[in-house]
Amino acid sequence: MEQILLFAVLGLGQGALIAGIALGVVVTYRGSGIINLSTGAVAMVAAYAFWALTTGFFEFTLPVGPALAGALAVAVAVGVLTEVAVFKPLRTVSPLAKLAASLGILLTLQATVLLVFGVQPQQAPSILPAGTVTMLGITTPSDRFVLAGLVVVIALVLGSSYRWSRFGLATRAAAENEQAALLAGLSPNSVSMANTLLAALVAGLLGVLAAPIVQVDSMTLPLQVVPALAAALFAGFTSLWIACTAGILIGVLQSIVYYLSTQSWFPTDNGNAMPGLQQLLVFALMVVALYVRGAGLPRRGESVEQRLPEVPLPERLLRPALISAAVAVAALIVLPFDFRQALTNSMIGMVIVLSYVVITGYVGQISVMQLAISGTAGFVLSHLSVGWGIPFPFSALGAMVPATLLGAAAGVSALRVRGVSLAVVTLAAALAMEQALFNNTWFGGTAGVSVPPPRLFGTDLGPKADFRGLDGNEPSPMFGFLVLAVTVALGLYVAHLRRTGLGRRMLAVRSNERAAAAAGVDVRAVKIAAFAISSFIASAAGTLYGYNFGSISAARFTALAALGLIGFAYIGGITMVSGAVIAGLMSTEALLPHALDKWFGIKGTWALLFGGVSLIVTLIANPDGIAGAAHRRRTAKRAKRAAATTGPPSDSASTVGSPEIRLGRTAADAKEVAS
Amino acid sequence: MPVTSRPLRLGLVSAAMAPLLGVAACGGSGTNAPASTGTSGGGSSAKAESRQASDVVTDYLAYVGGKAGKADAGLEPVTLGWVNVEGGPGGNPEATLGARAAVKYVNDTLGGIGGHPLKLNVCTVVSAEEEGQKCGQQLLGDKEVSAIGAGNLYLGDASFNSVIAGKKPVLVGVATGPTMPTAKNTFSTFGDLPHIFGTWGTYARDVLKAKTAAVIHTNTPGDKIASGAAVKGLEAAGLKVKSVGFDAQSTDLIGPVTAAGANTADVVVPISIGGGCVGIAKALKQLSVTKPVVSTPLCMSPDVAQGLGGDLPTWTYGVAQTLPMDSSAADSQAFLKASAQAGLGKDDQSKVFAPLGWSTVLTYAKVLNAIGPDKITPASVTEQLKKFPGPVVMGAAEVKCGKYPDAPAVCNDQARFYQYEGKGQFKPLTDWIRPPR
Repeated sequence: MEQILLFAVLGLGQGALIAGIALGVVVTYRGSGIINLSTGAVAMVAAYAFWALTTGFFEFTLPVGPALAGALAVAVAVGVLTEVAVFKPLRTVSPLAKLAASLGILLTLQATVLLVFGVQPQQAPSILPAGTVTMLGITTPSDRFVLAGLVVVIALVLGSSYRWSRFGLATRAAAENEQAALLAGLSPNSVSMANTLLAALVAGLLGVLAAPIVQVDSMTLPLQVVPALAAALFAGFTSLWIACTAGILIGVLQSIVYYLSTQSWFPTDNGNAMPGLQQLLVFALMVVALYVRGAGLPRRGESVEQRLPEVPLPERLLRPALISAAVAVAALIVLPFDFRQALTNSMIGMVIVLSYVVITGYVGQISVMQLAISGTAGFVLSHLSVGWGIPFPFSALGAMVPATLLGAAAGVSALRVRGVSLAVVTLAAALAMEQALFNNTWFGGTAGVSVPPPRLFGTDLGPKADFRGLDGNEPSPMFGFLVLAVTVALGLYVAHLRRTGLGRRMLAVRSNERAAAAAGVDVRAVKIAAFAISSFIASAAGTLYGYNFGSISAARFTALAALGLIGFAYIGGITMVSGAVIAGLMSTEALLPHALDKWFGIKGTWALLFGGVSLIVTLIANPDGIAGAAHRRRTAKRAKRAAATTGPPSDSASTVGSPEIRLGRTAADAKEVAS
Repeated sequence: MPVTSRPLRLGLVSAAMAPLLGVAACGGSGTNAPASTGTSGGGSSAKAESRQASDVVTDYLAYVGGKAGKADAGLEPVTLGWVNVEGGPGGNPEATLGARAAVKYVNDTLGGIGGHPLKLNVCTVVSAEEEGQKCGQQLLGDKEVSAIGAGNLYLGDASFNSVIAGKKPVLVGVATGPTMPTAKNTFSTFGDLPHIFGTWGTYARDVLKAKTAAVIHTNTPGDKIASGAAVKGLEAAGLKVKSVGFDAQSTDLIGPVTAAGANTADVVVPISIGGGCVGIAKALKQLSVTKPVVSTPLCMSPDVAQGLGGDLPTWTYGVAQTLPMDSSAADSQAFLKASAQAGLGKDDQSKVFAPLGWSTVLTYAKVLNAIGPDKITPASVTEQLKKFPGPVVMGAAEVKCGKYPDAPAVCNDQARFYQYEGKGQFKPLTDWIRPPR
C-alpha cells in the first residue's frame, strides 16, 4: 500500500504537466473553437528557451528569474504568431482544417527547435525546490506537491477570471455564440487572441517547471498533448476545473499502472513489462470520457459559415490512369535505381493517402488510425507468410481481412464519435496500437519481423526479382509494376466511388449527418462502409510496405508518422485522387524528398519544416490543396474557352462569372446537382 | 515530413551502443574472470592489461601489412562502402569521421591497399527505414564496392540487410541494429549486446560478490533487448534479478529505481542513455543508494555530464573496447596519436563510435592487403573475414566469427570494466572477462 501511495505521489508531477497542457487546450478552445494539437509544442519551445537562457547556449547566461521571464515571453510570442498567422486567417474553415493547421504548427515548431537547438535531448535545470518530504512513511520529492499545487492555483485563477471578469464574460459569450457576441460589440478575434496568449502562457510556464521531470526534446512535451486531450475531453473542452483534476488524475493513474506492471504477478512480454499500458490507459479514458460526456463537442455559433474542401466529380478516369501508368512503367525501367525506388515509395504513399481521401475527403472524418491499420496488415502478413506458409496473394489478402475488420470496428465506434473528437480518439488509439500492439513480441516485437517476397506461379514479383531496370540494379521494376497495378486499381476505384450512389451518400453525410438521415441516407451504413473501404486501402499499403522492405517494424507506423501523412494529404488535396498522387510524391523517401536530397542536399529536419509550413500555407491560401487548385484552374480555363467559342453568354449559368464556375464546379458537377 | 518516434530512435541508439558494453578481445591470455576481488564498484582492481604485447595493436603498419608511405594516386582506388546513421536525433557521425580518418591514415601513411588508394562510398541513414534500403541499393549497385563497413546502423538495418542479403560482406564494429547479429556474411568484431552482457554476471559474481541485482532500463526496443541479455547474464551467474523499464521521455526515475529494488540490491545496472542516465543517477542520490552501479558506456556522454552539473557519475563502466580515455592503454595511445595525425578532432576521438569506425577500416585494410588489390571481390573478402582471428584495433586480441549459431555475425563476447573516478579519470578494474560459464 505504501508503494502504491508513493507512486501516486510521484505521478503528481506528470499529472500537473498534463493538467497544465489540458488547461491550455481548453482555454484555446473556449477562445477560438480550435483544438490546438500544438499546445504541448509551445511548452516545449518555452522549456528549450529556458534551458538555452540558463546554460549559455546563446553565449550568455541569465539568472533564473529573467530566464523564466524570457522563456514565457517566447511562449507568448509563439502564441501571438500562431494566432495572427494561422488561427485568425483560418476562422472561416472547418474544425477539421483548424485541427490540421494546429498539426502544421506542431510540425513547424518541432522542426524549428531541432534546427535551432540541435537534435540532442537536453537536461533542463529545475526551478522548484529539490528537497524531499516524508509523509506516511514514504519519502517523495517536494517538487511534485509544488507542481500540482501550482496547476490547481492556475486553474482557480483562470476559472475565477472567466467567471467574474469582463474578459471571461466576453470569452463565454463568444464561445456560446460568436454572432451574438459580435452584435454585442465584442470582437471574436480579440477574444481569440487573448485566450491563445493565455494558453501559451500557461503551457509555457508548465513546460519550464515540469521540464526537469521529462527530458527536453522535440517529442516528449509535444506528445503530452495526447493525455491532455483526454483530460480536456472529460472537461467537454469547457470546464477548467475538470480538465485540471482529470489531468492530475491521469498522471497519478499512469504512475500506479506503471508500478503494477513491474510486479511479478503482472503479465509480461518476453520477460519485460507489457508495453504501452499507459497509452492504453489514456485511450481507455478517452473512450470513457466520450461515453460519459457524450460524443459531441460544444458547438459555437460561428460568425462565418464554414466551408469544407470541394470534392469535384471526376470526369475522365481511364485515359489519365492509362497514360499515367504507361509513364510510370517506362520510368520504372528507365530511371536509375534510386529514383526507381523513390517512385515505388511514392506509389505506396499514394495508396495510404487514398485511404484518407475516402475517410476524410469524402466522409469528413479524420482517423489517425489509418497508418496503424496499415501496420496491422503488415504484421499479420508476416505471420501468415512466415509462420503459416501461406503463399502470395492469399497471404496479402488474408492480412487485409483482419485489418479491414479493425477499421470497420473503428467505424462502428465512429457512429457516436465524429469530427475532431474522432481525430483525438484515433490519435490516442494509434499511439496505443503503436506501443501496446506493434512493440509486443507476440504480434510484432522490437526487432521487427520478416516478410518474404511475393511470388506468383513461380515468378518473383519482389524488389529482388531478376528483371532489373536499365542500370541492372535493385530494386526490380517488377515490384514497381506490382505496386503500380495496386495503386492504379485503387485510385480508379476511389475516383469511381465518388461517382456512385455510395459516394454521393458519403458527401451527404460529410455535409450534414442529420440532413442526410432526413433525406433517407443510412448514415450508419455509409460510415461503416467508408471506414471499411478506407481500411482496406490502408491495409493494402501495409502489405506493400512489408514487401518493399522485406520486413515490418513498428518504427514505420508511428502516430506521428500518421499525422505527417495527414499533413501531406491536406497539402496534396485530401478530397481528390490526384491529391493523393501529389501527397504520395511528397511522402517519406518519395520522389520529391529524394530529389531534394540528391540535388540540393535538403533532408531531414528541413523537410519537416517545409512540410509543416506548407500545410499551414495550404490551409490558409488554398484549402482545397494543390490538386483542388489545379482543378479550379482547369475548370476556369475550360469555361473561358467555352465562352470564347460560343460567343456572348446567353444565360448566367454558362458564364465564367456564374456561381457554378466561381465555385470551380464542372459541367459534370452541375449535372449531378441537377439530378 | 519524415517523422519518426524519438523514443524509439533513442532506444535504438542505446541498443546500438549497448553492445559496446561488452566488446573486448578474447585476449589470448585474458579469457578468464579476473582473479582480483572487491566489494564495491570502485574498490576492486585487476590487472589492467592481460593481452600479450603482440595482441595489442599499436603498430598499424605491421598490422595492415602495408608499405610505409603514401598510396599511389595514379592507381585505381579500392572502394569500401560505408553506411551509418547520422544527421538526425541519435545518430553517431563520429563513426564516419573515424572511418574517414582511418582511410586518410591508410592512404597517407600505410601505402594504401597494395599501393592503391582506399576510398569510401558513404551512405547515411537519417531517420527512416527507407533510407536503409536506399543505402543497401546504392552500395550493392556500386560495382566498385566489394565490401561494406558499417558504423552505428541501429536504424534501417532490416531493409539494408534485406537488400544486401550477403551478396557483399559487411564488417561492423558493434552489431547494434536488431537484424545485424543474424545478417548473412556480416562480421561484428566487437560483438553484440546479448553475447556481451553476460560479462556483467561474471563481474557482479566474482568481483562484487553480489547476490541480487536491480536492472533499470529504458523501455525502448534496443534497451529491452539489452536488459534481457543483462538479466540472463546476471542470472546465469547465480544472482537474483529484478528488471524494470521506464519510458524514454521520463527523467524523473525515483519510481522505476524504487520498483527495481535498488534500495536493497547488491548491484545496480542502469541501461539507458542521456536523460535516462541522469535520471537514474539523481534518483539513486535522492534515495541514498550507495551500492555499486555497473553501467554501460552509454552513460558516458557529454549530455549526462551536463545534466549532472558538469561531470559523469562515478560509476563502474563495462566496455567492449579499450576506452580512448584510458591513457594508460597502449592501443589507446596509438589510436589517439594516429587519428589526430589523420585529422580526427579531440572531441570526436573520445566518442565511442569513432574508434570503432577507425578499427573497422583498419581491419579492412589488413584483409584487403592480404588478398591483394587485384583479387578483391565480395567472395574473396568474405572468405578472408570468415578466417579473421584478430587482434582487433582497440578491441579483442582474438575473435571467432560464427561461434554462435543463433547470431553468426557475432565474433566476440568479452568486456572489461573501468571505474570512473571523476574529472575525466578512468581506472581499469578488470581484465577482459567472459560471460559466466
